[in-house]
Amino acid sequence: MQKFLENLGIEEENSGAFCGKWLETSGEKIEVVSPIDDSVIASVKAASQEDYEKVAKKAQEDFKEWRMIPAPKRGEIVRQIGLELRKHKDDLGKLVTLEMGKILTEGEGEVQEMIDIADFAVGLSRQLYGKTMQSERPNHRMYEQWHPLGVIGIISAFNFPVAVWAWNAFIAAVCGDTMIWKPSSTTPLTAIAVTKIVHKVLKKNDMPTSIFSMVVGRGRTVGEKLINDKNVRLISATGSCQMGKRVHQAVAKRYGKVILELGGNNAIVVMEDANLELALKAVLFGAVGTAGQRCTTTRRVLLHASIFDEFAEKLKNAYSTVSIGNPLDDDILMGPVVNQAAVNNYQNALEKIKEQGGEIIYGGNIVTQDVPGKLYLEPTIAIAENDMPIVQEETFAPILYLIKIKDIDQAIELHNDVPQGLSSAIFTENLYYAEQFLSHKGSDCGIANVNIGTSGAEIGGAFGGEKETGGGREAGSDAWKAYMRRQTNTINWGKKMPLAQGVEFDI
Amino acid sequence: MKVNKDIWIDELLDKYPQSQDFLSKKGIVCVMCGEPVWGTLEEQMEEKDFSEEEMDKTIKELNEFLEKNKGKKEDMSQTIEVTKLD
Repeated sequence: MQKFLENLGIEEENSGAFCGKWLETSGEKIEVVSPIDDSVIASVKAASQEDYEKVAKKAQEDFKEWRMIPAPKRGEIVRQIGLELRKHKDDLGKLVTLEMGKILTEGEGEVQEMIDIADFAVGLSRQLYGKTMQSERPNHRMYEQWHPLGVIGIISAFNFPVAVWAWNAFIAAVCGDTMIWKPSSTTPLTAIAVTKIVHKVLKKNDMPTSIFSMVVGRGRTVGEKLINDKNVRLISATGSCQMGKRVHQAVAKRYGKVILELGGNNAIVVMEDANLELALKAVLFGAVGTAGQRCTTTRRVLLHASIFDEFAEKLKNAYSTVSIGNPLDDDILMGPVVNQAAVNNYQNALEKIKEQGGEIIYGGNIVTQDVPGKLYLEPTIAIAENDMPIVQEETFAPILYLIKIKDIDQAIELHNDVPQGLSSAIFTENLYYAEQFLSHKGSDCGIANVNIGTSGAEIGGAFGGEKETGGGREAGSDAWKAYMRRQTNTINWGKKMPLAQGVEFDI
Repeated sequence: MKVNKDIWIDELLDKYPQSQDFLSKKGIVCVMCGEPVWGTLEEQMEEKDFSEEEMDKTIKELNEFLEKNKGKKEDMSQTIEVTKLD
């Protein structure tokens, strides 16, 4: 066992369920394999449905205690968790890289994102504002307040194995909720490491120990239990559109709430007047970063016809400089994809591109030279049409489509003509183009940027998108409201009982 | 028949990982965001608007494919027991 894993409390075999204590789980054994070189990092004994029941029961019990602790005091706990994360940033960042394959600077950046949202949540814990409204009735006061919601479920994906949990968990914690985390079964070790860090803080402060609980397991077992659990008031799910649809339907049946942050098919529009150097950097990072496995990855570039050839050539040159290899090495820009299935999806997508009339102008191969494993792909550029079925899909791989556009109207039309609606950007120096793109007739995404790429959002804004992306919002702004229940209160401090709307009902 | 349409995708991939590539070629994506999609094979085919006939044909071809590839490293050649949740 490597030293940094020991520092994080990772053992050779780990329990996959935590509810104030680590349970003797009875589910399947999951061997966690690093995509870097196919080596086994450690194993996890997954939670069974019975283990889930124990975890859920304890989270429900602890909610009753946690909700009674004043929000600023809950914020203080999250502040201390942020401090503890700072101490473990290097080790945890390295584990993120080892477990899912993103380059080390991105792995560490992800932990930084956890720290940032912890800081945000601390400030939020003294806010959680409700409004005061003017009552139409004399001697009445009307206002709204926000109460803790209950136990919430957090389903996270492999590509951001810890940051997405933190977006939800730290906000939910200051809101007074307890939670059950189902991490991706591809990346359970980071979840276990984080849970241990958090538990240390709770224990030190003599807090309820099951505020941040966790179950590792497949969708078929613990996933289905979680989404169908009527005591779990909110499910915040990050992952594929398919998974989100299933979550949405299950939760709707029991009148629960959802936050869905699902797939993207994100585009950058590059107009004829754009600063091409800026656009190039943004497209490169957006398309190649995390080996094309972010939900905000740039999948399409809508290029003005007058600069199409020039930009395509520049992009090919830029792609040729991307160093591919072990993501733990300093000089590497692109690591492996997460597993063999991702490689298969990449290869099948390339076949479909050709079948559907697209042209691959860069990449398209599996990298076998000077890499430590079998999951390294060439970042790929294809010339395509927006209406090709493969372009309409989100392929979780480093494949970028270049699509020609003639003007801003066509750019917006094609931009919006996909089922997903997460992130978008335009590169232009023209105010008319930029404002049009951001207007109500412009981008239909939850995130729309000017002269910034589609990925790498800050935690201060609400994160999420429209259409098949699911409509949920996480992280900053007023996303916290989804983790609380709103109560409207009217108080009569007079001696009469007037009714609203002038209704008379005297006896 | 080894596999029928009621099988859960993660169970299918656990026992016959090579099914992923086979089904992907048929337009059925079994792994998204790094994880097996949730639900049964039938649900995935319905999602892609497969008719009953197309479903039966796909299942038949999948079983033939698995039989043909029997004994290969990834094929555990076990009989699949369909697990349904309560």
